[in-house]
Amino acid sequence: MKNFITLVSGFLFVISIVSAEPKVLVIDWPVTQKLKSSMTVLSARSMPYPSGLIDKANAVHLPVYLPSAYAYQETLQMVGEGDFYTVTVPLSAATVFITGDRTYQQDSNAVTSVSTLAKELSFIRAEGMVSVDFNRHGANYTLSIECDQPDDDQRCTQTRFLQQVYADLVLIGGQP
Amino acid sequence: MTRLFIILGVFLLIGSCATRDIPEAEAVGEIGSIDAYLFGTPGKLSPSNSGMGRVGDHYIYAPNIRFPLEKAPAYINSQVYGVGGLHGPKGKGQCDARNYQYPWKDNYCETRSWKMPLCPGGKGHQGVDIRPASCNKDQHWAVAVEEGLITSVGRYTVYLRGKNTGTTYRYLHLNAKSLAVRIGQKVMRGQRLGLVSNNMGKAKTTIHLHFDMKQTLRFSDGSSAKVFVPPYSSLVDAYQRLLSGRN
Repeated sequence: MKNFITLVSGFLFVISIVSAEPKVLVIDWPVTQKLKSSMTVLSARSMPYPSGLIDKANAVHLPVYLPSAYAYQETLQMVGEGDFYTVTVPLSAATVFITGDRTYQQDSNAVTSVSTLAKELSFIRAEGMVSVDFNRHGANYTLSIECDQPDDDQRCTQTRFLQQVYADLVLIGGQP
Repeated sequence: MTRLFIILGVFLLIGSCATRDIPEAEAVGEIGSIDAYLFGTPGKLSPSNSGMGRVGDHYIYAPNIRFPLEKAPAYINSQVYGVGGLHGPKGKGQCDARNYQYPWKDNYCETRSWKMPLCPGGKGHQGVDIRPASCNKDQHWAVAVEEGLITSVGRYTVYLRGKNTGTTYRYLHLNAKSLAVRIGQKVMRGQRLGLVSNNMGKAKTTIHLHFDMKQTLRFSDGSSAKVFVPPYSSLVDAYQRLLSGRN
């Protein structure tokens, strides 16, 4: 009987620990895979991606988007684990980042006042950087640029550059 | 046998509390009573013309984080409306002694021109500005608030993703040459990241750490969005632990 109690309490303890982990959003994989197939055909006509990039992209469990104009740069760095990734692309006197994440930390009912602005797509300039948050296929992404000269470089004083990067994002990987 | 049922009942109650879909505020709580000598009220901005904060929101969005500066004292107050700031009294500039004293003043949602969904007016400051112990750059270490991964390093920003929470923490204005971490590096809670400075690329700002926290909110319809959440209460909680040696 003592062993039984120990077993049950251990099981319940494990459940409580596991439930404290970040919670995960549902990804629309059928749509993602279809889109990925069409983009793969296009990218096959272009330059090859840096060595190992596709393997890294396919090791994370959400759709992986990259800025198409810079996806072939050997200098880009991708880090990712499970439910998120970040790609950093160093440019001349600036850095572009994209982060994808399928975890969530809060249910909105825990936050008493959230403006509907949260769901609107808008390019903002804050702290000298330009960025945009968006949701695709159920995952959340942040695309941003940071400049050496945030007050003078047009890529960071205006939103036009990042809007172009956003328009040209390409889906390169990710697996359920 | 009765004892067995009681024990099982207690465990089942604990298990159900841990797994049911409850608001996080209920699970981790809000900041309790705080020392008014040290800390201003969360959401109450100062001076009063600096904007409107999230008054009444004392929720700890990132429970049990470490304070982002290695050592106390540190002072949360406005860089823009404080002494020497663009819209503040001139005084002796940013190093005026009034900027280096308690109580802290929340400056999340302070007036800015950019979108901020959690701010009352829909616009505002994305995080809080923290002055280190003294008005000397490149002397005070910023440290990891949580065990995690350095996901990116920009021109004047270090990005840390917390392993346990998935929260993205941004550290702005560290001295780029002092950085003790690189992209892809795993860091432990409290590990040194870089020295607090006035780095904003080739532009310069005041000597401070801008610290913010980005989390994803899930809405009742299943949709979600990433937003900058209020860090102030989490930092008050962390600082109390730093002062009492319970890091």
